[in-house]
Amino acid sequence: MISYIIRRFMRIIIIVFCITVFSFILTVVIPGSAALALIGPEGASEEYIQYMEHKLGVDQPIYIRYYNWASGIITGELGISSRTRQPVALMLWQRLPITLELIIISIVISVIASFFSALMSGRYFGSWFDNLILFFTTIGISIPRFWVGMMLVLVFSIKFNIFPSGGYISINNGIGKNLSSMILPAIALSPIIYASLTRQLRSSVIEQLKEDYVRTARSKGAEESAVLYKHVLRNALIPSISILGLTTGRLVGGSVIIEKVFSLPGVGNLIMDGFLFRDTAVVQIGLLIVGTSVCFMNFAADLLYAFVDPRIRYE
Amino acid sequence: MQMGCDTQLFKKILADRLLFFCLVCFLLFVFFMLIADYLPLYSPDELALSPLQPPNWGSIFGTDRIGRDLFSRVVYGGRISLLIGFSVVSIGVLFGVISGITAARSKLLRNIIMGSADFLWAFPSVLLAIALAAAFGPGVNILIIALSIAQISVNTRLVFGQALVVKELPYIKAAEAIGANDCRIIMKHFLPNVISPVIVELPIRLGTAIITEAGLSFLGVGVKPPTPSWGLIMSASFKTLHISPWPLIFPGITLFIVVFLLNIIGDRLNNILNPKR
Repeated sequence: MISYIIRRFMRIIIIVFCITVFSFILTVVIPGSAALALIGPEGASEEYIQYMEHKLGVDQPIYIRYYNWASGIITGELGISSRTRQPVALMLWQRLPITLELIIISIVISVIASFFSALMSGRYFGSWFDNLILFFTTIGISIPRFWVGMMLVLVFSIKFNIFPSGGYISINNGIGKNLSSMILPAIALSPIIYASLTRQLRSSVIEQLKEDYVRTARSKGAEESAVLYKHVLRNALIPSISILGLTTGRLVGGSVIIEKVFSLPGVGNLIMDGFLFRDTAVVQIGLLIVGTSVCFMNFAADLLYAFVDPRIRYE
Repeated sequence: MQMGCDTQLFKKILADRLLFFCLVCFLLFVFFMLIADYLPLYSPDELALSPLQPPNWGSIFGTDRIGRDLFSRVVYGGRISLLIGFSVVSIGVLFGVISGITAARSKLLRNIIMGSADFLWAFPSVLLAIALAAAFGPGVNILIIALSIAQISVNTRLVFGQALVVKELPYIKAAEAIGANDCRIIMKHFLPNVISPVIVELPIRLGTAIITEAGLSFLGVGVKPPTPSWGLIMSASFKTLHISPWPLIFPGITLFIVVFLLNIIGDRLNNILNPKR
């Protein structure tokens, strides 16, 4: 088990390193001087520009700049946004909880719906319910999330005025209000996770229901719901762990779009603004954060999978 | 998994009525978009009508914020989306197969290729596209490159796994033993079996590419206005949603239907070619 962890971890380190290089290369490639971006549109004398460039260290060779940048990151110095003049670390700190909340609520909704759908679907395999669920999952992977988001706004905010159409209300103003601002975005993010998870879980459930232990439990007189939820679900969940890890990664990408639709001040919106305003520092750090977290989520999913199913460790 | 004989496959496709129906619908869509120039439609850029009209006899889908006919915008936008989708998927298959087979055959390049594939696969394609657009400016080419990269990495993994297995199969070794030359082995025996998982996934991949393109155009990272794209039409509709929801509804439904058809086609095709599922 330990050697498996170490092997996977080494791979992660290399991948994270590649992500840092990739994020850093953006600075080099983006046309326009970083110094000019910081100075602003008023412009300045040639000497001042050169002074700023020297101060920023832009006139040094690439590998030195990379080293400074990377070592800065490790010590928490994430750079200054050229748009807001604030430290990127501070902006991230303010926005990360919002994106996390969005993702977590979305996962919770999808997982609960998925457990129920997959179990019932597997149990009544071939019935109209099963086909209905399969139909829903196909819809789930076909429907564009931003369209779902906007349709939700159309129906629930504009037509019926139940939920706000955008903006984030923090928990300080009450959990009810906070949830009301998050529920539509979370639902908009959910279809894909629900769909992929349900499909995978359903086929695992069907496999599990053929196993002997199910027959034994039923013949012992156990309640059907106990059989399903206590035994089958646990075993069926195992192959779904990696799907969950993968889809959570995709969620991070999807959250960019949803945050735009609902004007949520999260990390995704930060990266989009960084892109729109050519704010290099923000885009770099944003990519780094996202890339690394996706990597670690996959890593965690792999570890969990290996922990639960010993056969994987010996690959 | 072996590729069946072509006529047998064809018969199976005809026999599956849902698959046949969806395939026909999708091909009709494509055909309709291809002949759009010859149809009596408004030009997608023409400011011919009054803005934000609901569907009426003059314009079936209504009009958008500045008076352009929605129906023709949806049709021409669909053309762009399909074009981008097909390009992305083709590039993805071509380079994915090449790198997958190279990785399987060359121990030296294997780590580099598979490592890059892993890295690019984990990275959300939306963010990759934003990163590239931030560096090189938004546009269709960047969009295609970004989306293709995601597809190439998935296909590389698929082909690599399959190639490793097929490489060791007895009939490949037998062909080598008889003295069949390398080219013949590759084309006739190796390639068809190695590509099969990729081919089976094609419709679904096309659907994914189309949806992602719409999302990226919605964000402003993809197709640039005034070229119509479903994503662009929908993002422009947002500000005037309370006045007219139609610029949101119609492109969205069309996008959904196209991708839905592709997913059903992909699923049923998968069922036919991989009956063990």
